[in-house]
Amino acid sequence: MAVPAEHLLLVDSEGRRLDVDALVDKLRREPARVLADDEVGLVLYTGDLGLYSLKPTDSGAFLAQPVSEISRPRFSTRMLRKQIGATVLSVTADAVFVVRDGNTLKKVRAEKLEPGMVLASGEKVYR
Amino acid sequence: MSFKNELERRCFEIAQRTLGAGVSIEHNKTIQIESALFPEVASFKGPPAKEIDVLVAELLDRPKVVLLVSCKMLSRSAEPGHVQEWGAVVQTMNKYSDGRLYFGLVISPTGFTAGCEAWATSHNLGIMPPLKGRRLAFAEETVFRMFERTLKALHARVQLRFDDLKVPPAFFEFVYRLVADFEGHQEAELDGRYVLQPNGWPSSFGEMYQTIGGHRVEDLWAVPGATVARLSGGQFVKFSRARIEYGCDDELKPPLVQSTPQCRKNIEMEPCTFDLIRSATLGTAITSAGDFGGYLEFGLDERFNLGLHEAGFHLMSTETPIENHRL
Repeated sequence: MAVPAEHLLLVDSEGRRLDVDALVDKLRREPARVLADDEVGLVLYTGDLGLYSLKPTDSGAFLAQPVSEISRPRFSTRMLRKQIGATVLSVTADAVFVVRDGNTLKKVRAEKLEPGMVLASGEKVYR
Repeated sequence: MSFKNELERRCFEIAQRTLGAGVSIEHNKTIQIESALFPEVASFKGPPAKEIDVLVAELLDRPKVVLLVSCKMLSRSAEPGHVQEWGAVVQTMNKYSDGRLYFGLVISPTGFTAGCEAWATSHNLGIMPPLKGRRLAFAEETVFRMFERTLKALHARVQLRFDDLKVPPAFFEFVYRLVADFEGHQEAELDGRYVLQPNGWPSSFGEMYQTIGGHRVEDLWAVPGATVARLSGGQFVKFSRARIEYGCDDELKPPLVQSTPQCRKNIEMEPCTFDLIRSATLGTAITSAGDFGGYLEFGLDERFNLGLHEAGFHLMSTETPIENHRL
């Protein structure tokens, strides 16, 4: 069973929401897109499809980031629930977040995110 | 081809197996920039050159895309200096190349100290095994599997597009995404209870149910220390207490000499015949499952629970009232 590092909210270049599972099932039938499909999981190339992942921000707007690969590991570390800004996310313990530390940025595993930390995007970690 | 150590030999074999020709190992190789007609590279000794041990893997022919791999066999974790050195080599080769594109990768089975990551991201180098923000040791064999997975994926990726990987830390992140998931995989491998056949891959309860849920029971039998259910679509499940194998095997047949299974029925676990269990379950579909450690139980057609034990089976009706549906 594939478990993404965090639940993806995917849209196409026109902003239409996509069903990630259906997309993965469709794309894995195109051998050229399959970068890895083994005991660790599936990695698909999506850089030419104009896909974006949406991250909700405090203001209620969405931050769109291009998605060049979709990864579906067969195993993940344990799942956590985190509230970051206005959003409550399900993420794996090893998902990486970039947080502000004084005037520098550093990476933090999801399991080490603490309330009060501020992400590079400006969102605050609540729990 | 000569190798300085076992790490080099294994990495070379993996690269050659994955990429075919175009892979070479060179020791004390003096690498020199390809285009030296720039005032800033003029010196009394000529253009910049450096003596290195390098595994060179050609990923793409036109235009040339080349991976430069540094194999670090160290007794301790690699330090920032090792990454900085490789970063300088790859950066200089790219800056003065004649159209070739170089990516850099550092492999150190003993791991990297925490300070290496910032140098790797800023120089856009892949590092293997990945730094994951907590103390985590990967077995040497796992590091080789990471290398093989990365080479295959990178080879496929550059055929589609590679220019986006040039901008730091895109290549670092690409390699990271391919190897980071070994953490969860390693944990599952240590558990070792679920095994997906025919590949023998470590698996999980969730993946097992996703694979066999909805399939019909076609046959049941027992072998010494285990029970087997053959399912529609060539699927099967074999339960032996500590290990649950499942997956696809079209050729799976009951052995000529079968063990006699111990069979029980109803909640009271009264003794019953194997024929009773077969007649009630064959042709029914798996609608739920539960792993109770000592046995694996399947819900069938939302009417029965079939238990697979290491020495036999149990069967009970799940319909109510219980007293009217005893077997």
